[in-house]
Amino acid sequence: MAAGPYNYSYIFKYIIIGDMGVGKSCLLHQFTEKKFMADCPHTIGVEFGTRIIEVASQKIKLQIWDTAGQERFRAVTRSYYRGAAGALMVYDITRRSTYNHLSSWLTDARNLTNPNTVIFLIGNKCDLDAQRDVTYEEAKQFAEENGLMFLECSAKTGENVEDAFLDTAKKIYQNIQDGSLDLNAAESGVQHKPATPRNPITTDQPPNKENCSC
Amino acid sequence: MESEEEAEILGFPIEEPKNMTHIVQRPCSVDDSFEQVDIIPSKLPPAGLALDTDVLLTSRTDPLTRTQFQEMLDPDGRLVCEHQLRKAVFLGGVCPEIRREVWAFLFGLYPCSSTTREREAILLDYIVRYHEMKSRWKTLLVVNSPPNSTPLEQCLTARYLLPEESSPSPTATTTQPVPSHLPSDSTRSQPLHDADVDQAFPAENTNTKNDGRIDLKGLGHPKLAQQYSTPDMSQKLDFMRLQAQVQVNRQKMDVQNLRTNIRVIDKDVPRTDRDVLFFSGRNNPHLRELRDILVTFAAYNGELGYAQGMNDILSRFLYVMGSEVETYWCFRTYMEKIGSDFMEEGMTYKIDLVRMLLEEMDPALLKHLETTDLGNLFFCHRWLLLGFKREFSFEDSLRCFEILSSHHLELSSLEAEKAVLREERKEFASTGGDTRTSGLATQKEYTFEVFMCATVLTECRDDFFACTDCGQVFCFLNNLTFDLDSLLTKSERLFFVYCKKTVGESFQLVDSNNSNANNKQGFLSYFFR
Repeated sequence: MAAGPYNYSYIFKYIIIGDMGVGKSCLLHQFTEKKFMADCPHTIGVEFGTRIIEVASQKIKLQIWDTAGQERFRAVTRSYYRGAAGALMVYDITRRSTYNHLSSWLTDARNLTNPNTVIFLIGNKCDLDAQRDVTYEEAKQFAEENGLMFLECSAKTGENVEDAFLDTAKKIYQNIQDGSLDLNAAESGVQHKPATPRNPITTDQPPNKENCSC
Repeated sequence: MESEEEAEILGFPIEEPKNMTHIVQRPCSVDDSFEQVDIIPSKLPPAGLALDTDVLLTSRTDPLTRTQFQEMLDPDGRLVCEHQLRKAVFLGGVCPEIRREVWAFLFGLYPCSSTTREREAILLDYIVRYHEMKSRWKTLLVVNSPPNSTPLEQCLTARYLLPEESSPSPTATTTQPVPSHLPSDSTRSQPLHDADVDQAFPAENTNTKNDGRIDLKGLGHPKLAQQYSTPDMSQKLDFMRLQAQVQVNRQKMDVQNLRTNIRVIDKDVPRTDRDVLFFSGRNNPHLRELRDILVTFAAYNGELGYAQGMNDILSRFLYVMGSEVETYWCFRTYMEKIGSDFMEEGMTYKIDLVRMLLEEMDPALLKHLETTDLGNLFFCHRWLLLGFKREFSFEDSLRCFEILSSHHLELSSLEAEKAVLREERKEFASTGGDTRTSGLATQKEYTFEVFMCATVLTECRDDFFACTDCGQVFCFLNNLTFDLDSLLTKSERLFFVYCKKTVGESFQLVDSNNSNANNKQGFLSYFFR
């Protein structure tokens, strides 16, 4: 591909963290492909996905690092936390143990990212309400106590998935606008790419664009 | 929209990029992530290794056939020349129809020197021991259930409930993998929850008759079953069971720890290779076999326990070996060798070996990767842990697995010694002087898979240099697919180039030793004059 102008103005780095089997890869897949990936194999190390979204008429490219949930190779996964602008911390609403581990994930995220990193709590599998093991209220309270944004989502039905990713981006963008996130700081997780008009014929349009606009 | 259509619309290069003749790149998911080139460096730093160096490569062959394999066996069924088998496997892999027999030797299930009859006896011992090991953890889980658990719950922990509703068993148990490009939506995949399990599940076949005897026929060994049907023989079998019980009961088992492992195993088993026909469909019996083997392994290997990725290793064994017992022992033998890969320290060391090799072969590339924050090469983790399984189709991943496990081409193997000797002779012929190999600086721990990782990296060096940040590199890596044969040939080349390089270096070493020795000699002769 030739070097040249970008069709987006910013790159935001996201990480997705949380216990194994909570549906991190499925959330990513739902967000980037708009499909539920059945029987998705567990992640080894880290997987990677991207999508271009639009916030306040600015095109933003999200670089999403989907980490393995397993404890054993934590040193490998932790090495990817650095310089994340957003962290999606996921638990499974039908398994309390995954909720109970959140404080340890939060400590990791706080210690390994910068103070401005936006942390978004996601209670996944909300389509399985009958098997719910963690109430909305208590998770909401946990989020408020720790200054996290929060939504319950379903990677299966797609419910709220879009919002979780987009709200995180909006918050990061807002932090840039009000100056609390310094773009020049090392490891801000944000790269600014001054957009240059492209030849309309070769302009790459993100598919399902209507879903991306906010 | 299908991704290939998208690729065309977005103008991705569907054809192979010219600088990677055999390593094909497929487009990133949905956006223009290929727009990864910030600045094309006008001149790349030199590679530091001459991959076009003239080295002697053995040409790759067709897979080993039954006839060829039969010729390697003597009339009693002994494998006469193990080296010959390993070489044949390395050069071409194995035909699917003899894979089971070949793997039994390749992975050390049976000694090469065993006769067909001896192997029957070993198999019986394997069956009895596995049966007792499995029964013990099943019993202990029920005995040690939490005090408030219901009998149903107690049974549920020990018995694997297939994570799908009860439905007729799949008729498709053919061994042909479903092409990976088929959409996986067709196989359903509702994440499975403990609540689902209350439903009636087909009674588990524990391969034990009511009196606790082993059902050899049910285990798929009708020949053994017939052999042990007489009262005498059946008494012998009972005695073997008793011996095995004593042995198994002596081993310590941490039930608490096992429960934790089981929770992870039960999450991973239903998402293991479900796109392969052998493991697909509801109520697939092979999932229960995977589960029981993993739990049995974790139960008697407390320290290693279960780690994600073991399921990926095991599924290949089960697919090929078919029988649960033989799969367990193959897996166990394999894990004895590579178990440290599943501990963080062992894996990071292995990744470090790739880094060290790259430093020797292409320091400029390593330096570049360091500037993009990927100098630790942690992205090799998956390649090394699973033997490139997820980088290939299932069928190719089997071939890759057997080729890597042939250990034909290792620095400690005969082949490396021959190559080194060859290079020494050439060096000797061209420069004269004496050859000494004492100072030969080969790092014997560089396994062939380490060479494969380094090959992937050096093959894509131009693309790496075009990436200026970690995200670009990762996007590029994430979308790499390899052609197995070309990757193997190139890795073999790198291997021999490395051998040659070490010889060259040893000659320099000898030269400098010589000049030192001359000085020393001068000094000594002066001293003893």
